[in-house]
Amino acid sequence: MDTNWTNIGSVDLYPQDLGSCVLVGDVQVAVFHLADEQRWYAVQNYNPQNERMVLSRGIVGDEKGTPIIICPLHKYRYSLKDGKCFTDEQYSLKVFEVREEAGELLVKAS
Amino acid sequence: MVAIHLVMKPRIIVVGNGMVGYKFCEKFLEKDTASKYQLVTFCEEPRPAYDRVHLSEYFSGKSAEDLYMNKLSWYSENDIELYIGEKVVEIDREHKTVTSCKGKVLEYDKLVMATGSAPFVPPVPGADKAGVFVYRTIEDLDLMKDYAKQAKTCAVIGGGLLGLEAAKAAQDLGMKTHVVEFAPRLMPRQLDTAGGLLLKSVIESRDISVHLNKNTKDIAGDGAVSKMVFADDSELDVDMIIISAGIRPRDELAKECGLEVGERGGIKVDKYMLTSDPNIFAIGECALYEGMIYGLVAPGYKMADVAAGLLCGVEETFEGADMSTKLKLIGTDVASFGEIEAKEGDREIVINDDFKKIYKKLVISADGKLLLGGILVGDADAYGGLLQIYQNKMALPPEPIQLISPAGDDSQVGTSVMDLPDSAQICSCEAVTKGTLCSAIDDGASSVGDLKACTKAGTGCGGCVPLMTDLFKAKMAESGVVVSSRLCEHFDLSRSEMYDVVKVSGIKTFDELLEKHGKGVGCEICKPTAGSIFASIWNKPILEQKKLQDTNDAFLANMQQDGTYSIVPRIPGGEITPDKLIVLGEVAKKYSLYTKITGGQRIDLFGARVDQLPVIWKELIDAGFESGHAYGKSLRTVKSCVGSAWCRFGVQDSTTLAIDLEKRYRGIRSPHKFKSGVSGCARECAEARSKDFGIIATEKGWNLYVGGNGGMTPRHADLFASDIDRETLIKYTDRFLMYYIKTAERLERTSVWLTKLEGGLDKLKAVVIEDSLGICDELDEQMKHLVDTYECEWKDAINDPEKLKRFRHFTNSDEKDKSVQFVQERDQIRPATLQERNFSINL
Ligand code: SRM
Ligand SMILES: Cc1cc2nc3c(=O)[nH]c(=O)nc-3n(C[C@H](O)[C@H](O)[C@H](O)COP(=O)(O)OP(=O)(O)OC[C@H]3O[C@@H](n4cnc5c(N)ncnc54)[C@H](O)[C@@H]3O)c2cc1C
Ligand code: SF4
Ligand code: FES
Repeated sequence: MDTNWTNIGSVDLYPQDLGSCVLVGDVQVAVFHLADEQRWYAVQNYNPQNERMVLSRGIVGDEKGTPIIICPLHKYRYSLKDGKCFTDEQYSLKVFEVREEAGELLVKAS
Repeated sequence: MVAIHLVMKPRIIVVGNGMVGYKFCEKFLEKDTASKYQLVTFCEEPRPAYDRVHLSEYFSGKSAEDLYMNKLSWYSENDIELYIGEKVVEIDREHKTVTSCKGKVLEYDKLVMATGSAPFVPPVPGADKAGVFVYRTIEDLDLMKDYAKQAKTCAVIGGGLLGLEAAKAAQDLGMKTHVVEFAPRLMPRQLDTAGGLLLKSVIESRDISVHLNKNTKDIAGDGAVSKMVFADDSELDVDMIIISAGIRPRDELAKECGLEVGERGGIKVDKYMLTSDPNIFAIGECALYEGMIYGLVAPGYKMADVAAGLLCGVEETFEGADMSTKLKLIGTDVASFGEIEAKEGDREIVINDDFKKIYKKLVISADGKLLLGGILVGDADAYGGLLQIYQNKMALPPEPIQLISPAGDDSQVGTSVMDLPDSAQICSCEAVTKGTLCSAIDDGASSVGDLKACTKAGTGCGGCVPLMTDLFKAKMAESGVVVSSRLCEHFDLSRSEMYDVVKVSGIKTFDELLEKHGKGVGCEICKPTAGSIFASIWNKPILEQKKLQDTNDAFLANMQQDGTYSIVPRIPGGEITPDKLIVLGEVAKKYSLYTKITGGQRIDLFGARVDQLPVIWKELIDAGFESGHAYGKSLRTVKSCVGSAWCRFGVQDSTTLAIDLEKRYRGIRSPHKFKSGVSGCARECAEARSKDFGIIATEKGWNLYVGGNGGMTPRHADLFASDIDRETLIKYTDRFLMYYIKTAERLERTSVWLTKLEGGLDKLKAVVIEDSLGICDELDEQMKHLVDTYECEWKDAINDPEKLKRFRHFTNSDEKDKSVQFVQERDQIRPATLQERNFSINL
């Protein structure tokens, strides 16, 4: 299927250094804004390890310089860059493109 | 009734279930893998074996059960027949039977005598008067405690190791205490004259009078003791006496049945611990080996091991043991090992510092190569290392004085524990070698506690724990594991260091902290730690720094396995009005929440979606509830009992105190959660002693206990202060908590913190009661600030649109999260299991 950019609203809705969850079609996407790099990241909200929709509620950080999201339930660490799981390599996340345009946020997830 | 024995196993009967008798059973079970024998043990005392070495802790708050060597159920679980309160009164060697005081006659195949010893009471006229005690069993202590209530002055006869321990106990019971010693110095067996003198001055500075060269001639008094008269006709007025003049092996049974005993007592044994009858062993303090009675546990344990081995076909021998000891006496360390005086040709190095009250002596062979023995008074930190050099006959450094020269310069010369051979025995009580400890660490033991649990090292007298700790740290460092308490890759600080940095430099944000003291972006370890520290110091609502809060704190509720939340309103002391109960019921019903009474005496409402939290809180707050901080590393609950308000036994109003304390400390952030309980009398219905701080009412006021824990590694709290009034109680608790918050590491409960605190409970008392660090003003002020600036975090959140932004599942939609599903169980909801869930993941 073709992928399209979806407008998910004003950037003001998305707090810095925290995660937010958006619905794109049927897909739950976790969106993060890292103030340090002035960059947006988006990955699946679904944590494959515990099979729950929780990643947007995790804390963000870095592991040796790579930006990561840490699952709030069992503290598994995933790279925001490529979705690889640092804690157990059998898991990985799908990453989505996200960009800012005229104060609005767009994500490519459908 | 007919007893039918289907299979009669050969029977081993152990006479005496003291420390050594118990150890025999334990060692025997380990070795008798085929379970060939039936173990039977007779125990004269009214309870199974307990830790006599730590008997004095019975006075400082430990219960008899705390001191048990093993739970009562352990015996039955291991199929040991244990006869408690049943003394053996006769041994018939011809028919191989023993007879108990209750008339039970049992046949034995092998007999093990572990009857221990009894305190020696010198034949002084008047020693049978009321008020004269010995110090050996829990019963002795109960009797003393009772009598001490009416006594003001106590004398201990005997200035040896046990006498001094008894003197400390007497002083703690509130009596003016004297020690009366026959010899010209204290601890004549372990110390030389100079060491003994120094110890005397330390003890006298603690307000215990020491009388040397005193031979008690008469104990006078009309029925009860009132004074002592000495051979030199001097007198001392006392109303209680504890005799601690040595021990006599309990060999009476052995004598009666014709076993060979020593002239001055003791059952003669050979190196296999066999007596003159090849079917009878003797071990522990009743056994006489080459003219020696060993009055210490470590040799006794070794004897138990040898006897158990032989019975299971493993030949081992007992070759004597050294009498090295290290103990803490009346606030000072005393240790001695090997030769304490130089013989012809040997040499000595002595440090005698009368200002710092430190005395250290090494006895060295004439050629300067071997350490023959030594004495340490006042500072015994070097003991572990010295003992290793001595026992392993290791070469001394060229300037052996460095081994005992005062620490201070960082060029500490000593033997590193890593230099020891693998065969070096680190724990003599449990005979655990360095090699065994190292393999346990290699096999994954990840803390000193772990090491203790899997090797038993350090569980006897405890003297080896410092060396074990060094070994553990050295091994960890070797394998590249940093045991420094560095928080994470972003900060080279431990939590307590971070606390000090924040406090001293007034840092209020994570970005500033990271910029000045850290690197990178942060992670789930340093961010919440910093958030907690900011809250502990500045006490702003935690969502002011949203990005630092993880999981529960991030949403002021407890995240459950399915991503929903539970809500726990505060119910101080567990007291709640019917109206408020109805509100909780109504709210739960309205939002279909699962309802449960928690283990902390309050009510938990489960299954709220993130977007429902603010509305539910609003309803609860309007009805007078506030956050219960079940999500925080902060005060949980102060459990209460109904106390004197209702209960027929209550002596104080425990409920009111619990409510007041819960309100005082609510919301305060700390290194880990902390809990409390207040009981209205000694029956302890609020389980206060399993709490971080627990309070038990007494006739005169309150007893405060600290450092208790339920959970994974339960620990009974230690008695911190007795019979104090409410004001003092609050003062001590404030300081205890603030000192903990200031100095503990991340996720360290008070129990662990206290066990690790150098100087332990005594140090804590000094800091909190005597202000030994001069920080009490700071602690008081900080606590006052926290109490005065408390705010309900829920209330703060629902009134702040900025904070509420994150309380929705989808930022761009009002839809519900379809992956959250419930099923019904016992008329309430519970999360659907992954199998029950009807949902397909779309990515
Ligand atoms: C709800 C409750 C169980 C219940 O249904 O009764 C409970 C639930 C949890 N306990 Fe507990 N504990 C509850 C009483 C206890 C008690 C009993 C007590 O407080 O008297 C203990 C033993 C006492 C103690 O703490 O010393 C207890 C010892 C633990 C421990 C082990 C702590 C330890 O030091 O070993 C943990 C794990 C931890 O904190 O690291 C834990 C952790 C948890 C967590 C936070 C597990 C987690 O990470 O999700 C649970 C989440 C709470 C929630 O969702 O609301 N819970 N937990 C109880 C809430 C009490 C309250 O009103 O606040
Ligand atoms: C206050 C105190 C502090 C101490 N501190 C230290 C220390 O720091 N370090 C150290 O190494 N040692 C210390 N000791 C010594 C240590 O406790 C003993 O060495 C150890 O308890 C000896 O163990 P045991 O089993 O031989 O004797 P015990 O522990 O005395 O046990 C013997 C048991 O046998 C029972 N018994 C006797 N006769 C019979 C019978 N006929 N039938 C049934 N049961 C019988 C007795 O009632 C007793 O329970 C201390 C002792 C005391 C009292
Ligand atoms: S602890 Fe004492 S006062 Fe409180 S309920 Fe139990 S028996 Fe009554
Ligand atoms: S030496 Fe006694 S416990 Fe280790």
